[in-house]
Amino acid sequence: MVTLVTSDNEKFTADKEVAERSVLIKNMLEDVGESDQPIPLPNVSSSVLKKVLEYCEHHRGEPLPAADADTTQDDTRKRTTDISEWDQKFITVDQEMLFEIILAANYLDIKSLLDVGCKTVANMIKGKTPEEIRKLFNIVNDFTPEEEAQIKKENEWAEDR
Amino acid sequence: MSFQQRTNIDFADVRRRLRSEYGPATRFEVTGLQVAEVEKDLRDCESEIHRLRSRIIFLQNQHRRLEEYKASLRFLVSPIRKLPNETIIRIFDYACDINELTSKKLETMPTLAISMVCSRWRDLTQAYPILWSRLRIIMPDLSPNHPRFRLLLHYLDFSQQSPLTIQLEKIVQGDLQSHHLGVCADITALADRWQLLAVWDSKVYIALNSTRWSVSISLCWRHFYSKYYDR
Repeated sequence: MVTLVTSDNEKFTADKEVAERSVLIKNMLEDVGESDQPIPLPNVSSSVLKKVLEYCEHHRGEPLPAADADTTQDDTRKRTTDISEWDQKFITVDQEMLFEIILAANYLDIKSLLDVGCKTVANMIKGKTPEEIRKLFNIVNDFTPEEEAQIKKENEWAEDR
Repeated sequence: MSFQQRTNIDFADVRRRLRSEYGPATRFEVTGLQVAEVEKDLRDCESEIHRLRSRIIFLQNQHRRLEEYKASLRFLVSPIRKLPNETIIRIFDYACDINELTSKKLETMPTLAISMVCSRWRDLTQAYPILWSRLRIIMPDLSPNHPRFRLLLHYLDFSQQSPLTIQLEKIVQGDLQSHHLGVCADITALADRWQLLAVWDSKVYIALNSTRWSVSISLCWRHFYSKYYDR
């Protein structure tokens, strides 16, 4: 078993096999060797780690993706935004938690979870206008008048005017 | 100073008089002074309306500015801002799997739409040429309005040297027109960057072959696939 300590000082115990789905934790465990010492995770809160461990527990035993696997590779099939039913249910959380999970997956280096999070956000973006995207994520239009003028032109090209 | 009315409005009295005081023997008791006083009240009333309207417009502007300020403050702490650039690019890469350029709707052109959201997203899309390199053109939907397809040129410009995935879909009825041929020429000019080219129409295939052939002389069928082949 591995003990993990969150940013809000909560302790979690998890099977080594589950915790090691995080490349960061796996490397830390390899570095410290056989030890009962708890692993501090200062960038992850208890509510987020709980979700992350739930994900790792569900996917335990599955093969880990290759270290150099990247979404920008050529194969179009790898760019699909399909998400499995369980993952979809798992990631149905409020926006704050969704981005916290993505940040945690990035920090803990859990590529498959990072992909689930990124695909979810990508699916939220797809098929929307810039204004709809802004509204969805509370993003403010911070363009300069010059940028606005260029965007207006691009808009005209898109609408073929 | 707010409007102070001097006139005592007594409709009951004036109505009674309207119904009774007429004819040559009537002694009219309305003085010019009374009418002048009402006219002055009317003028004062109008200027008060004007002042209040201006005040409402001022307050509406202030309200809008406060809303914008609140939105900006909220965005400063918005969770999406916490994501590092490489994670945002990963999201964009998934979102921008294909850009349909002939729909006239930004909703089908995710890279362009994303580049119009905010300055950070615009900078990120422009720094990652691959996002601009996956294109779908519905050939019969191409507009004859312009000799060259400006949106295609915009995408090709930002795609820099990225390998291109281009789908030229559907069959054009009749002969290809100059705007179809223009698109074929622009795409053939970049033949050395084709990663995947899907062509539906044999006329388009021939047009792609006939222009700038020197670059694509080694072109073979593996560069092409049809929707049937893909199934």
